Amino acid sequence: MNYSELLHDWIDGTLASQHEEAVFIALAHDAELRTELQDLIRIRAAVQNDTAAFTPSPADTSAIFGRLGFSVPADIPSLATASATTSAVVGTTVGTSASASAGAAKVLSGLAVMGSAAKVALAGVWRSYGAVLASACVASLATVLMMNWSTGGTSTNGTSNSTIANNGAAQSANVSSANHSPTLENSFGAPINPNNPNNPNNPSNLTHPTNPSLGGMYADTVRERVIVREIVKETVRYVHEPSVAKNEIENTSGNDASPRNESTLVQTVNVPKESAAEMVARHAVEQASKRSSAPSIAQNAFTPALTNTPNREETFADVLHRFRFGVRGFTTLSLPAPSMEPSAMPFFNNAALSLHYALSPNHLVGVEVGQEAFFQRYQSTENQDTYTVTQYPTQWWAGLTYRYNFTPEGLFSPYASATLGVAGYGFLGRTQVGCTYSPDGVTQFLLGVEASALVYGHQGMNYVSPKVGVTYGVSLRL
Amino acid sequence: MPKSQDSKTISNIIMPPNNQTDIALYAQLRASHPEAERAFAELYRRHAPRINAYCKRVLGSREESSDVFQETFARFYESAQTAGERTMTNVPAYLLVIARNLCLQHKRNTRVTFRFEDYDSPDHHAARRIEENELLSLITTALELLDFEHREAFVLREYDGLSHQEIAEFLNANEATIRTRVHRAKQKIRQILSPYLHDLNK
Repeated sequence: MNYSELLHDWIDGTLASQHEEAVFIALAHDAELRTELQDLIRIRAAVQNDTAAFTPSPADTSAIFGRLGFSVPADIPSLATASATTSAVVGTTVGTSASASAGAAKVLSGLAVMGSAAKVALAGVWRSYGAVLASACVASLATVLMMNWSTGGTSTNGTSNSTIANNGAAQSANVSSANHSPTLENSFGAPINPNNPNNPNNPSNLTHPTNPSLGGMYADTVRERVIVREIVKETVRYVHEPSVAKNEIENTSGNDASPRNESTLVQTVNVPKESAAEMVARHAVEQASKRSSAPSIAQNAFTPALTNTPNREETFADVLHRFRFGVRGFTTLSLPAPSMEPSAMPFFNNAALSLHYALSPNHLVGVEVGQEAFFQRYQSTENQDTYTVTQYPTQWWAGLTYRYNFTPEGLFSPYASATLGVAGYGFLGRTQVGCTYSPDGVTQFLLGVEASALVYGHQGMNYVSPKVGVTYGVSLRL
Repeated sequence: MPKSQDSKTISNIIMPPNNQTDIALYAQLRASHPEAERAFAELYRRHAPRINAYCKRVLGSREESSDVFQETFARFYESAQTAGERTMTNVPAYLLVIARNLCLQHKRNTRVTFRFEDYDSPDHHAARRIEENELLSLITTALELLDFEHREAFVLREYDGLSHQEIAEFLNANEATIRTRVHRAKQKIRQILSPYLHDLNK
């Protein structure tokens, strides 16, 4: 074993661990080896203190900078001091010169990694947010559809039964406020007494006239809505309204062999201060009587079980007509004014696509997807260095939107909308006010002003990037 | 916080030159004059000592090393202007490559006065004027007595701090060969300095 070579490896820090003990034992017993060790250490120390070698002469520095047309910085002649300091660390590998540059290398390499991974991260963000967003959209639309169906059927002209729903909602609000039960209410706010099994008003005692399987399930508000819908569709009005004492309760015979309870039958026409249920049922009966081939139903009477009466169900086209697809652009200004130009994508800059669903002519909900630039300025600290990052990237964003049309029936309709969503680098909120122009009820032009804000965070600090601007677009009802 | 990857964003990060990487500074050498000047000054500040040490200790001659040192940085700057789409990955290594090529060119153009194998008289330098840093001057002189390969390997290892593997990659040689060269260079330097070192050990 060549202990001299092992000694060199040990000084270089590359000695294998299994040889260390042998080298130390050899050093303990070999004076010549110890002398060699001392010499090598002295040589290395002398080399590392060789400032003359590490210090470029001022003449060389001046010649280099002069040749390139540069002026010599004031601190460069003091390289003698710097080299003496750095010479002690010369024994490191190339590429790790000053600690500051190493720290800066870490910072920008980290930034570069983050930047280069931004696209991947963005895709990952959209994969995560996209699932949540899609779920929220589906859930929202499903809830909207269920709520819409629960408030009534569709009128013959294909539009939603918004009047019925509106009146029903208004009435239910009045009813629920006047006759509020803390436990159970039917879908129109009338209280239900679930505690008395002998009470004919007890939901569990109620039997659906045409669908006995639904009997005993009235305690569920949602189920009640379903039952009401079923009732309305079959032009049979079975609404549990024990509080509506002023209504005459009339039980007429019908074809249904299910047992009847007088309290389950409610006259819903020509009754002052009729409840929402009554109004819904009356309207549905009136509509059904117009379409039905069955004997017409008198206003003050009804046939409980006209199971053969056809009722027009909402078609897919009806549902489709409630959707409105739009595209809009916007010209916005970041606040405060940015200090650079925004990055631009090859297409679809400062534009958005939208898909709205009309809950009613006044209320629309939907989703928007767009791409625009947001100016960002934030502080970042890396390795005790703090610096300001400014960027003006164009980002994709998406959000849920709600719009209220003030006068939807008119040619011009002022509107207000709000959107909450996510963008590539944070959360986004925006509001709009403007006016739509719809010459034919299908095409709708839009012009408005909007304010938006991107909220993003970095290293525990939150920042806001606000914008104001003008928006313009067109939409088509599907 | 993910960063935008577009070039406008990176170029507008407000950071002083001394906090930027060598690669970023190298890219700025193609920029406008003030920016290129700042970038070059920072790169010079970082790497001139090591390149200067390499040139001085490998070439030995002060005049030759000065010429090579100046030419190294001039060519480095000129290469940045003509880099085009090529990507710089290791600025210190690139500087060393330029310096080495110039040193080899000078070596070919100069007559070899000493060879490592020919030197066997350690007392040759006993009469040198004793300077403040005796050991260092003796090491410097001893280096001049080594042949180019051993001298270069020693300088790259001890002055530039490269590992044996890095030296092997830089010189396109085998790591074991480099290890042997460095070892032999140290042994020879120690042999040359033995009388002085012997006195120090007393």
